[in-house]
Amino acid sequence: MAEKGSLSRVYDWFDRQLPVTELMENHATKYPTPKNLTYWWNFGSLAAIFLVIQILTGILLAVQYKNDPTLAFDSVQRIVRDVEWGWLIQPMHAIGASFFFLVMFIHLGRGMVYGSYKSPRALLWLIGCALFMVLVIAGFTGYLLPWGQMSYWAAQVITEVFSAVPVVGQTLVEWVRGSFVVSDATLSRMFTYHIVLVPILFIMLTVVHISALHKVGSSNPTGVEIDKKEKDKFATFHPLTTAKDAWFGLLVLMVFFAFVFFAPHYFTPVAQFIEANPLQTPPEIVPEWYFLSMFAILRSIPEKLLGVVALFGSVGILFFLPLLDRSPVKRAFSRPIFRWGLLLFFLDFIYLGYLGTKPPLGANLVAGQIATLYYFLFFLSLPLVTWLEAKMAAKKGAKDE
Amino acid sequence: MAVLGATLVLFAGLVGVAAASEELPPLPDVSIPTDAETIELGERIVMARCKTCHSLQYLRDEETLQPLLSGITPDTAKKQFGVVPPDLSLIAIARPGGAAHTYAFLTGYENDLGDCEKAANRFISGGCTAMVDPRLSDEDALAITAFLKEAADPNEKIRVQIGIWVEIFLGILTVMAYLVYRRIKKRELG
Ligand code: HEM
Repeated sequence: MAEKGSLSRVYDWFDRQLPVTELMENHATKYPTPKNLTYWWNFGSLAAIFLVIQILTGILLAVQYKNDPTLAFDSVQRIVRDVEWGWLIQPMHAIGASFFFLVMFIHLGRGMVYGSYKSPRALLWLIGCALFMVLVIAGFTGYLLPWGQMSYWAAQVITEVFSAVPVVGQTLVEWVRGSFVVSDATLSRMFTYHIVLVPILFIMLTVVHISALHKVGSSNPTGVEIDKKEKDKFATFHPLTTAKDAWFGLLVLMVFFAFVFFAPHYFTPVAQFIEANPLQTPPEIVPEWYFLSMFAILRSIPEKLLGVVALFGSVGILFFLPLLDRSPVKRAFSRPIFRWGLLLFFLDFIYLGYLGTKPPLGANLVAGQIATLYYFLFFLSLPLVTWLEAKMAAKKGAKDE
Repeated sequence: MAVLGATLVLFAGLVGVAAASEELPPLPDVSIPTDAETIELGERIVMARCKTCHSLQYLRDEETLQPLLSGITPDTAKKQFGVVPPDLSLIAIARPGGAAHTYAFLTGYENDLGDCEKAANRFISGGCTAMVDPRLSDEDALAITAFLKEAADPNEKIRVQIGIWVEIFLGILTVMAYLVYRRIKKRELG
């Protein structure tokens, strides 16, 4: 027998003691993927790409960043001006956050259009919702760190929200801030959450997310599950999906780097270039674009406590989607009522984002209330929609016979 | 793919709306020079005339490498003007409209003080400013703006230079990866 090369002996040594081959075959080389997936199924891997970018650039930033209110703003300027390649790393992280959210909205939207939250993927959806919450926390905690005017005042406004809770409200606000106002204590804890808690949760939940996915398999655009035994309808993950993810990922990275190199401040409001000043409120406090819809929901409700409930409810209700929508039909296009309801929901969400940039006054306030109402009505009406659609299908079935 | 494109355009629109919602008097439509000569001229004027009152703390003195501080202390400034003049290192990107606003401000003084105590300027909300009219020629104001823009974003040149190469590299890589994908797709899907 020919002597084995030393590299493959090293590989064997690992493989005997770790499931290397097993993991690779089960999750990459031999993992079966439906052949008919469209590009909407690319956004999960795009999310993973941006997660990796955020973690790598985040580690590099954390090395130079100073989490102290007297130094934080300066340290970001030092990173951009004096640290080698800091001018590249800092905008990659900042623009990366926006792209992460954009990719996530589309990933989530795909799930709604193709009923990815339904059996057998309900748990997969719930883990996804948890990941979305981690992303929201990441965005909120990270935005405070540069200690610009908008960092400070956005944090001030959003933490103030907790004061609406009866009895313990004020205590809760102080607990979140670590102080009476946003201050040194707030910066320290947000920094800790942002660079310790958030990445740990992201990585853990992503592993669980992918494990759950690989247990049940991807859905497909027809909305009809493919039997595992129909081998000809599946291709192995590698090379078909890896090649597809690679080229499409590179395409999105081109757009991403166009922002990083040519418009690094595109998503940054001008007030962020002024150091936080607790004594001077900026003329407008507007959150980042990806929070605008939620912000509009919060502000459209004049009653403070109800507004807070709606704010948290707007994300929380995603967890209940598998319960609310019991229709067996997965594909939205195949459902006579749901398809329009969902389209209107997406438009409603974007419209809320637009309203988030406007002061909640007059016609905008009323529009915001109607849009908020529809946001929740969409979810809460799903049992009724499902029932109606079942009736329509039965009637049509009877007529056809 | 078409739907995908439409989604991206919608999102871009939403972000655009968010960015454009700043309240602004219409700014003059100027193109800010980027040549070294103008920037140097701007730097000389700023060092001679502005640095007395304004710091440029993220810029460094070429010899001592210390941050550029203003000629007067913040306390003195506060007593004299009522406010501490803002640091100028980021000013060209820290106002709605960016560098165009800087230029507009420098050339936007009114001769008629109106209700203002020190000076009237069209491009300050409220119309009054504590900084007296520097009486700059348009060329000097433009040179100052060019310098302050460079000061606020000193990496712009290198960023664009490297960025173009990165995009070309990624473009070639993307096309190659796409061709690979097409072949694999043909083989796997028939
Ligand atoms: C860090 C964030 C996330 C990562 C890295 C991630 C990653 C992935 C990947 C790689 C896939 C397989 C490819 C695809 O179908 O696109 C996937 C599928 C899926 N993800 Fe996520 N995801 C994340 C967040 C979310 C969120 C926020 C949700 C929803 C609330 C979600 C729900 C789902 C569902 C339901 C599937 C199965 C889709 C199907 O086959 O129909 N994920 N995810």
